[in-house]
Amino acid sequence: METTKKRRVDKEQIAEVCQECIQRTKISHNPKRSFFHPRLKNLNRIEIHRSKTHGGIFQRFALHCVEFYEGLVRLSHKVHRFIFPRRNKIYGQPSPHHLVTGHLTFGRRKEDADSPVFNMHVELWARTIWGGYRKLSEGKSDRNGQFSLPYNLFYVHRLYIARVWLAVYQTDHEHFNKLGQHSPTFRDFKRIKISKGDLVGIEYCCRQVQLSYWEYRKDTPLPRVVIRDHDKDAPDEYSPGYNETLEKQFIPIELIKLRHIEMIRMNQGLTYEQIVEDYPENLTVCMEKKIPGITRGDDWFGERMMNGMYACDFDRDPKNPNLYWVHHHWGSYEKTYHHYAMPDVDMWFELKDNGLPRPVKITLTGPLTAKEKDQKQKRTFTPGDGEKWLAAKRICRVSAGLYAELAHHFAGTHVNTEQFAIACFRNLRLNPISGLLKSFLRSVVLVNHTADRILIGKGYITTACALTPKGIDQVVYNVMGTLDWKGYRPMQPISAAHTYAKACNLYWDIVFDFVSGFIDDPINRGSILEQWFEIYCFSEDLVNHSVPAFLCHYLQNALLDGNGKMKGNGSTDWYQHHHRMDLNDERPEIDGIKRAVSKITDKKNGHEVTDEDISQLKQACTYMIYQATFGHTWSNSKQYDDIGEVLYCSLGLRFGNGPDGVMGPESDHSIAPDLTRSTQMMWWSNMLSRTGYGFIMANEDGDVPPELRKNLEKHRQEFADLNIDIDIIQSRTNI
Amino acid sequence: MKSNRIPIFNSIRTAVNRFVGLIFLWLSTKAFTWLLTIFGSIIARKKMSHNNGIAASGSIRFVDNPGFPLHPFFEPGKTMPCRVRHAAASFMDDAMRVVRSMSIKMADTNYKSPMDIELNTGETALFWSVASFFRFAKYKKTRFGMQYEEYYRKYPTGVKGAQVGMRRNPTSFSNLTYYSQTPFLYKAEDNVMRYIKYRTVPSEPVPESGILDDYDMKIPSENQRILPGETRSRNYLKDEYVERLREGPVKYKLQVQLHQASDDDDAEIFNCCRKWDEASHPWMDLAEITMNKPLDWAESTKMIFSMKNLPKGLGIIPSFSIYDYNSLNFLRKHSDLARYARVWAIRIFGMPPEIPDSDVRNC
Repeated sequence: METTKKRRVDKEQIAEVCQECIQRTKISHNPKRSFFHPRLKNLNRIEIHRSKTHGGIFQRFALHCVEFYEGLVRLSHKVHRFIFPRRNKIYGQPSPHHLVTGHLTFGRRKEDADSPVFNMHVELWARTIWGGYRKLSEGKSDRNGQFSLPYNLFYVHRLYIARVWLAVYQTDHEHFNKLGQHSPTFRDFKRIKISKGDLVGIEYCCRQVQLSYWEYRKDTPLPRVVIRDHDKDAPDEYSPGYNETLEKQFIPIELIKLRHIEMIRMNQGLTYEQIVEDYPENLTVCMEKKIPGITRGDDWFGERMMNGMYACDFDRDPKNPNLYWVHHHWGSYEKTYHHYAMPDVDMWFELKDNGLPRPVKITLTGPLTAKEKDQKQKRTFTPGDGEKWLAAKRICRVSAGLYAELAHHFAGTHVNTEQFAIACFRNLRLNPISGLLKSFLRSVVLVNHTADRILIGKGYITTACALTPKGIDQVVYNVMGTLDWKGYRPMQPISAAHTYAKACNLYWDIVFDFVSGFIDDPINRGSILEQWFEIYCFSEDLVNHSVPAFLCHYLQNALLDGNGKMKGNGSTDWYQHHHRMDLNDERPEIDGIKRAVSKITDKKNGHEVTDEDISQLKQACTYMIYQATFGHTWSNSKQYDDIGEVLYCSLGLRFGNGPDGVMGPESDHSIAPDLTRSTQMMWWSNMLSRTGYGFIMANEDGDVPPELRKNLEKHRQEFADLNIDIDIIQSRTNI
Repeated sequence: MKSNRIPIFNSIRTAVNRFVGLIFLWLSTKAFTWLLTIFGSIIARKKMSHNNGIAASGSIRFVDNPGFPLHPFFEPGKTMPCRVRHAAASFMDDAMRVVRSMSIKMADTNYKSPMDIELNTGETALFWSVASFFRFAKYKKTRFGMQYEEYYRKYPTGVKGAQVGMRRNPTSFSNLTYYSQTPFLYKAEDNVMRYIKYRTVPSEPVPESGILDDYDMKIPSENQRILPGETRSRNYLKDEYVERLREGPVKYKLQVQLHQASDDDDAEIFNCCRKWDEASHPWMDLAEITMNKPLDWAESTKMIFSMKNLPKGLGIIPSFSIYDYNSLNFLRKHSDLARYARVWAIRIFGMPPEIPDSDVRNC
């Protein structure tokens, strides 16, 4: 009786302290930057060790000069546009007998050169000797990428026409005006100079115009875009407001990291406690200050595994349906065991009366000390194991943190969104679906490009855990092989307290309603069907560049029968299948390999489209928007809460110097990441959670469809009941 | 109110445009002619193209019942002395893939004649105006049997012209069909303005040889080289023609297409890169040409064909700009200086050597 009462008090206390700390540690999205702070040009300048900031007086002065110059250039462009407006008027009467022709393809040289760029807006322009612009013709490329622009030969050869060029335009920014109407803007993507003397009538052919336009990388099996120079020729760009906000948010954090790195270098006695103290207080630190030990308890552990950044997949244990089972498998990926422990993790939970999970058993498979070599050794821990149980939970937190970072965050949202972004920007131009999707798919390729350098590959994760760069690639590759839009629904709540799953489902339904409304709108529907070929090519690009479908050996044996179909008779009921790939569905096959992503349609023309195609389009669009916005927001913004205290959770644990190896207590700092990795870890979690720009409700760039914002606003309270502030849901994957 | 809505302003503007265009056309024609005269005719003693040729003499007889309104010059049944010169464009090698030509002079002289007609294989041409011809000349860049690479890249119409005009190893000059491609004026006795196109066909129906097959169509137009393992001599076609004339007369039919001019004619009717519809513009026999005697290299080389040698009412169509389709004939007509200069250069500096049978190929 006494125990029950105490436990009830504990639960209430946890909820109360948690709420209080959530409010206290809420990130301000309007930070002030000191005049004396160093400057940061954009996200791509950040580095794990020492970001490319401009701190010295001369550097900052120089940067101010550069910015002043850039401002002048922008001003001069504005003045230039004012003096020499580009009127939307065709000069001279175009003759159908005099044409400028050519065909647009993707790629450079022979790579991708046979893929036509269709529906691309092209214009023929001339400039007069006094600087005026004269539009001579306009048109768009056809399905084969061919364009044909009629022009007036005699107008071109007027004495005052000085220069002639062909301009290929790309969609610049999507905007929605106050009436909610979509109004995209276009900007020059490529100019092809044409000698005026070469225009002699009949047909002037520009031949194949290769556009280095959202090219697929050939050096990775993942669907990634080519970015040769982030600042010069990237296919996308950040909004100016984004860079400004990022600079304000980021510089104070960077300064802390730099101070720590300097202290480590000078051996000035930096401690873990000081590292945690120096960075802004996060949720777990705040809670620990109020009630020590509260965040190391089983209740908090279960709650965060269910509703925290980790948001684990709670499958029922096939052997004991009363328990829920979470498994993190690291054994198949390339690792080095010199410093870091990385056992496979199995956690079993039971549901408490309030619907939250409580851990009952943890099994770790693999070496736990530096001396052990046996990769298969299993050790099971239960709450009765005292300190060992605490250590096992810590390993689980770290494993879940890394899994959430790599699988949910990087692969599940960043790379996953990128594959849709590339296919979308390559193919959707005139179709209204372009306006629906592009605002949500912006920026992701730029962030991923930066992440390639600082997070994966030889970036932070490799130095902070046992995974090698190849191992990380394997994880991402396999996770991508499990992701498909078809049949996807967010995770189903396993209890009333599963707020993460509830929020996901609520958001999904809102997005689905919005997407359905958009596609079912008669005006949009007509245009969607008219430009259905774009959807077809979008789907083809998506499938052709998708990674092979993947299902681990365990699930293959547990879920599939001899024909590769799901077993029947309820033998697979333990498996949560809604948010996972539909194993009953036939995978599309390219070059004899079954691909992860399903086709949206196989119809090329609007008149062939069926209701099923339309519903698949709705499902795919909902999936893209969901992953790019809420899916990413969850795994990204919660990092500050769940991996913002080094000793509580990091992305890797060392074997340590103690006899128990990684199973030693938190006080053994030889287990925690070293000081450099620790401050970098804190820097990471703070930096990623503090974007401060690109929110759906704030709609800073005016590119979020107003209908979606209205729908979200209607459900503000429902989200609030699930501890979600809709104001922090990002409108794009931009960090 | 815009000026073009007032007819007189419109007329004045058109007149001014035409005048300015004509000045440009005249200036550019003269400049080109002088350049050709100095560097081509005097220094190299060569024509701009079609140096590789053979001429023959014979007669031309106009048909008795032509079936269309006649120009007084084409008096039915009239017979006139006549010369014909066949040539291959650009290269001095008959086995190369080139356009072949036939020039007709209605007199047995080197220069003067009442009427000259210049024809080429292929119903459509590789260029269509003085401006496009200048581009054609600019992008020639001959190297190892390759030429006009950039021109063909930029102008697909030129490629089409090359594909229909080039002939690969025809069996004889006499079994090819030659077209004037550009239209001329035709004012018949009924005083109705018409345009005329000429062509010659073999007098007996024989299949035309040398038309590009699928293999040749795949070879880029700029590649005019002989085929690998080619055994034909550089002069095989000229030799064959001489041999044929020794065996008997070679006969051709001169045919015409007529188009009645009207005010609403599209300028495309003058476009030499477009065929006239044969259903509405049927080919009709005008004369029969009979060649009896081959002329030697010196005589063939000294011959001049000129657009000035045209009877009244059969002249060139006026043109008013370098972009005008009819400007090509203007250029031909006004570049006689280069032709005469070449003949005078030959007289002063001597005859260019004959083409040897065995020498470096593809040039």
